[in-house]
Amino acid sequence: MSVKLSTADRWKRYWYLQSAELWLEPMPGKRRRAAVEELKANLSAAAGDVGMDAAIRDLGRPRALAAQYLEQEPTRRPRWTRGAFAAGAVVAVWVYATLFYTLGMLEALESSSSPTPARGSFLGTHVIATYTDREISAAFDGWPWGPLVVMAVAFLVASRAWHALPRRSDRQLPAVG
Amino acid sequence: MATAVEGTRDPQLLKGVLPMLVLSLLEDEESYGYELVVRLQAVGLPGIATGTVYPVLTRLEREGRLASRLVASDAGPARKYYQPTDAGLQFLVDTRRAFDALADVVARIRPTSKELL
Repeated sequence: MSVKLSTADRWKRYWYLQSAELWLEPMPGKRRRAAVEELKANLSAAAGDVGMDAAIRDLGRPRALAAQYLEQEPTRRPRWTRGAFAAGAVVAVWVYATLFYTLGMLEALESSSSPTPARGSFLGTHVIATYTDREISAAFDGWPWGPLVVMAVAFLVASRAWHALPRRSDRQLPAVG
Repeated sequence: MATAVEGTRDPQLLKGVLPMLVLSLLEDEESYGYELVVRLQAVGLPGIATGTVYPVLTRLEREGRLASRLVASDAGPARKYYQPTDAGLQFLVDTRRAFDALADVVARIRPTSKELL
């Protein structure tokens, strides 16, 4: 049985499918989109029978549902989106930390009333802070190798990049005799 | 009348035979995902979850054992109806034979009711 869904039910379905699609990221894009579209149709049909809440409950948590799909996948695939999120988180932390370091320098300059620019280095980034009556500024220079390495490691680990490599069991054994 | 399988069944046991059950039902009549779940519930698996069945359909289609066609629905997105391919029917025959052989062995060595108690 099918009925027209209420706006609230559409939202619940939308958010469930968004979450499921995120967890289904290791699936090839075309099949992932087809699976999500099929879930959408099935959720709509089930909602007509038992209501959207029960239909979603029966599917299980999006992560668990995705795990069941991924369990059926023939090969492991990297999760590039997850890696990008992890790398982005590292960048965000680094930017905030550098910002607070710079603000600390400017505050120190303000309290010392020194007209001379202050120089500092934070995680590989050189910071030149100026605090005078006419100018408040900060200049950055240099390559933050440390954060870049951490960012790369976070990306590789979170995305499970090694899944892109062929598995030993996938490689052909040499013919014998 | 269908006999409901008790809720204490081992999920792994069901997982092993689910592709066979799915292909059997779809051989009788094509269905879309939710409809198939309802049919499985009606034949004796009342507690089977939709989230258990849909991934099996996706896998069987990827393996070429199911074909599908989209049918427009007046109350939502188009529904994907499945039917077994020749490869799917052959798989069903092979799986059914293997299952029957295994069931035969289980029937011969199954413990007596006294042992079960």
